[in-house]
Amino acid sequence: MTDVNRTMEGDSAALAELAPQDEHALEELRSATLDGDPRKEHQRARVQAALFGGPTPPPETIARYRILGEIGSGAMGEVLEAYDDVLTRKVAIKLVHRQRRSPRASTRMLQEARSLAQLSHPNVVQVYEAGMHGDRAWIAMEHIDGQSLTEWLGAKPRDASVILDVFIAAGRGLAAAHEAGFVHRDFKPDNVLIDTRGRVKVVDFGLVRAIPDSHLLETLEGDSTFNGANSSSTLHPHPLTQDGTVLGTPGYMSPEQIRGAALDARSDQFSFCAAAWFALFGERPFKGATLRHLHYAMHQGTVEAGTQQPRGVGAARRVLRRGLSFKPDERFASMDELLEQLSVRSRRGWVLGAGAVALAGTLAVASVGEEPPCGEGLDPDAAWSSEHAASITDTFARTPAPYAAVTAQRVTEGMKRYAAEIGRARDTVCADRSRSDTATVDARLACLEGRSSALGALASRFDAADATTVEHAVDAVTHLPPIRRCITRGSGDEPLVPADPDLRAALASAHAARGTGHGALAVELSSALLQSATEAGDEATAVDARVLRATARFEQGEHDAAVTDMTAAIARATAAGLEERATEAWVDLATHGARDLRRPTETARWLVHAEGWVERTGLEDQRWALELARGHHQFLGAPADAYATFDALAEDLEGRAELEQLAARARHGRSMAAMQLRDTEAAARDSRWLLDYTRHKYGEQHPFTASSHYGLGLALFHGGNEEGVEHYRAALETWQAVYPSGHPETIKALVALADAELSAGRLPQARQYAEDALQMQQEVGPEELGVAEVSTVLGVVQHAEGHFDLAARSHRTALARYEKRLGPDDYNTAVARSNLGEALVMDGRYEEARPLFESALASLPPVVGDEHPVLAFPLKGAGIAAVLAGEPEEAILQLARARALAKDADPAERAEIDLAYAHALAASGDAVQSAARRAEVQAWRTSATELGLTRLDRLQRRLSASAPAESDG
Amino acid sequence: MVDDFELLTAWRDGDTEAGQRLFARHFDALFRFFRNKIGDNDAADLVQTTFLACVERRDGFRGESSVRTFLFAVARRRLYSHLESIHRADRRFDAGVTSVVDIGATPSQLVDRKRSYSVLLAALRMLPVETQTLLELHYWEKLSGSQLAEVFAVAEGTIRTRLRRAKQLLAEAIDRLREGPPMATAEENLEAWASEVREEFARSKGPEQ
Repeated sequence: MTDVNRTMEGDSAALAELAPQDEHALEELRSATLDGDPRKEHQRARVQAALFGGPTPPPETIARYRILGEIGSGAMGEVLEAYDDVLTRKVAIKLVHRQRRSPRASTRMLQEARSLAQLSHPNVVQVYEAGMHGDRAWIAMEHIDGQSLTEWLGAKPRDASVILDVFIAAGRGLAAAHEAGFVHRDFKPDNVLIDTRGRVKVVDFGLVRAIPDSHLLETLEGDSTFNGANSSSTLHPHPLTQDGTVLGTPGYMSPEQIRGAALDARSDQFSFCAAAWFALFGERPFKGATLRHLHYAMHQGTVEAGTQQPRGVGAARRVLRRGLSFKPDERFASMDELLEQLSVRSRRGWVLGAGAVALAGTLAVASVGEEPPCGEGLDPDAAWSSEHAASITDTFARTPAPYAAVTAQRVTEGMKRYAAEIGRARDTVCADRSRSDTATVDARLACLEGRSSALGALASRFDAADATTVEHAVDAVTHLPPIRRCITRGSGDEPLVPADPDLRAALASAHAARGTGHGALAVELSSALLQSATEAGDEATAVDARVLRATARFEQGEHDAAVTDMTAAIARATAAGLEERATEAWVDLATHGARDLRRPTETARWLVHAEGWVERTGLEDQRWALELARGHHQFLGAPADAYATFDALAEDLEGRAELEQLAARARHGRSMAAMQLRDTEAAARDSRWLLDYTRHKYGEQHPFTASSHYGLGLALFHGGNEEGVEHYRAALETWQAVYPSGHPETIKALVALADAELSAGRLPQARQYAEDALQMQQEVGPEELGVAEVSTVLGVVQHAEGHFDLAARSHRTALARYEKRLGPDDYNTAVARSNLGEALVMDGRYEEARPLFESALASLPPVVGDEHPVLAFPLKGAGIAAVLAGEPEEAILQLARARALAKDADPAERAEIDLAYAHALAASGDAVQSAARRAEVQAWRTSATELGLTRLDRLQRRLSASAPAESDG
Repeated sequence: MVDDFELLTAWRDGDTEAGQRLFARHFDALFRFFRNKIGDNDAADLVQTTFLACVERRDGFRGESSVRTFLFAVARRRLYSHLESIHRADRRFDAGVTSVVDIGATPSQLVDRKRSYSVLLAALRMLPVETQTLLELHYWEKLSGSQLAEVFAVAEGTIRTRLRRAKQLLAEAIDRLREGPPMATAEENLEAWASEVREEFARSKGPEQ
């Protein structure tokens, strides 16, 4: 105790002190809270009568209103429930505390209230009249039997579409008030009431301005004193202030309001959007521990994504986002415009018919009653339960995957969400059935049953999970078919799922096999499905089977068979008028074609077809997928275009949680394009984002996360950042842990590390990585192209080490493999020749090397053109060989060209060219030019790396050794 | 003047006139005590039960130095159990950490109203109930350290520490409520900010103030 006391005393100097004037004001406050209050006198009389007997005081009245009780109270005043005996109706009376310091405030409030009484709108609480009670102002208004929007939202989880409808209704109230010249200034869920019949009404217009500090008090109170049913909410736990350090959760104020600047209707628009954002996404759009921070966050414009990610509100998110613009000018011109966007978009998202209800200012209340059962066969609990979750966690844990636990968690969360969504969708469809014909309701329910089968089939695969299944599990859940499409189905639309339950189950399990990485099984299952669907005459399902088989074949690397399947599927779908399927198949084909990279001409054609179909059917998700494919297609030939495509896509998908994976792909594409454009900073930015994303989604030790490490390593390394090596190592570690030895990813990481160590001048490490990689590659696929790639890296390391004979052997291996697999004139073959030539030159075998350079110089230009920098390598090699052969004139020709092409090459490379050039010029008798070249070499030496110097010294020795007559400088 | 103790004794012996006099002396203070935390009707009801408790529990008044202190000690317990009953349904009530308001947002437009009562009132309500009660009894009812110790049933030294801490918490709460304008992020913003503030000042200091 004494210690505590001492600590507190010791700290007190540093803590805030209560200012004397505050202390004084606090004392004055004693009388300010009670004096001159007629209500106190009434209460005194009441208690006195109760304690000592005597006449019970007459019921308390304010004007002609008989007070029935208190609805709520707060620092600003109280809200009373009262009865109007004249008009025989209940009213709510807001009784404001005496405005001692600002006598005009009451007058102002009365004026404001009286003009508000002129405003009548179904979504605005009607103000009746206003007056003074003693020296306290009061306003009588419509009595609402119901709850506040805050309470309504807190009562139970609400469907996003329904939340949006309530906000749209409240927004119409705001719009009407704006029209009449009022600004609310304190729009928040507490100031929106929903009566028992579902009518939505906004209260408390403009009172904030009328009463000094009322805004402060209202917001501090947290509950509006106009609130319909909050008598028990005068007390709130207050976690944020219990340690006295953190300011309360900032509310819905606009930035201009925080600054205390002039407000107009657009400030209400901001508050409206902030409240809707909070309701939909579970988090306030902007966060800040203090007003300063909050204002800063608004200025920066970075919104919080939110803790809830309801489906189908991506468009609404964008509309709200605009309403949350820092500058009022960037918001919508009016609430009407905002609401129009919001209702159009929300209706497009759901087509629930609820929009029309919202127009009438009423929220649909689902009727309970004697209607026949609906969607009984759809029990999401059967498709998913907590037992499933436990069993999956168990099964996954038995596989060797180190990320099994994370995966199990993500997977079970995802499946639970999906099942719940099916349940909600069923409720929506059933609630809406009075407005739809039976066939439509049946079509929608059948679609949902298909979704339920998909979930069940996946759960079965997970129950028998192997390592491959675990690796693909998270993605398999992400790619479960979207549920929202079911809700908008009409009886005339093409069916999304087979009508026959057996076919439905077969399709679901084929999908699940493919989704969990079992491509061969998927091909088998879809072949069987294709046959039974054809026999049953189910054209749509036959198309599905073909598309599925094609997809599995693409993923298996069987491109030709896959293209055949997909084109057949397109032909059948088109013939049968299955337009949505045709669209999807075209987009799929273009997507796989673009990824394949070997079919640029065909892909270009497919893209055009896909685009036409997407425009025709207007399937939004297919439009995004198409853009992604387009980016991949542009990648090789036009990286700048690819960058622009991915960039636009990433922007469009920003913040749309339901399309998160697509957004991640767009970012991935953008980072690759940035690498291609040598914008390593941009690449690193996206790569970091992707690393965070995969870490969260798949867990640290998942191979996909390793890929992100690798990508980031690449961007950092090429941007000259040493940190890149760490990410390479992280990738290698994970891949080695999760994949069998010799997996292509492991080898890729080893090669990258060899490259990085080489650049850092750590040759032994570099050689170790390269040798490991080669050994692995030879174990798993001695005939594969990988051997050539890894041998090249090893050769380059050996070359740097000065082991030119070993380097020559490695490059010879690479050359043989490239030549065999890619042909004699391939780019890689030519580069391998040049590499081999360089090693031979340095090993003293220049005559052997000369035909290799010649051959490389003959086969490269048709592939890359005459001006490509890669030509500098064989030109340099040929030049050096010519110097060594005693043909300086020939050497000068080659080296002059090499020099011109190597302008952007690395400095060591250019120094080598200059050095050889100097020798050639000297040998040809041009001492002046030679000296100039030598001077450049000298200049370079001062800034060279150790590795570069060694390389140059070796070349110097080689050139001098073969030309003893030459004088060294 | 008859002192409180005599009035109470007389009331206990059935003298309602003495009771009425005692009631008249203390109603305002007790009503004020409750009313700054709960609604009027509830406050009045609690005033009533507080008086009743004093009359009925003859043995209840022992060590306290005055009837007034005794009334507040009873009132404090009544208040806590009332708040507790309100909140039993959903969450634990702890007078040491729970305040009577929940901050929904931070204030604005405080530029020229820095010493308004509202800020003080709001700051008080932001504090844990126990702290709020302590400060109100200290500033409004002028209870001494030893009297406060009786009301809160703790040692006088503890009360002094708590009071000091309470003042600090209040000062902090006031500071937070009076927090200034947000930091400008760039020079042009600073300019815009400054002119907006000037504009706002000009308006608010116009004909009305």
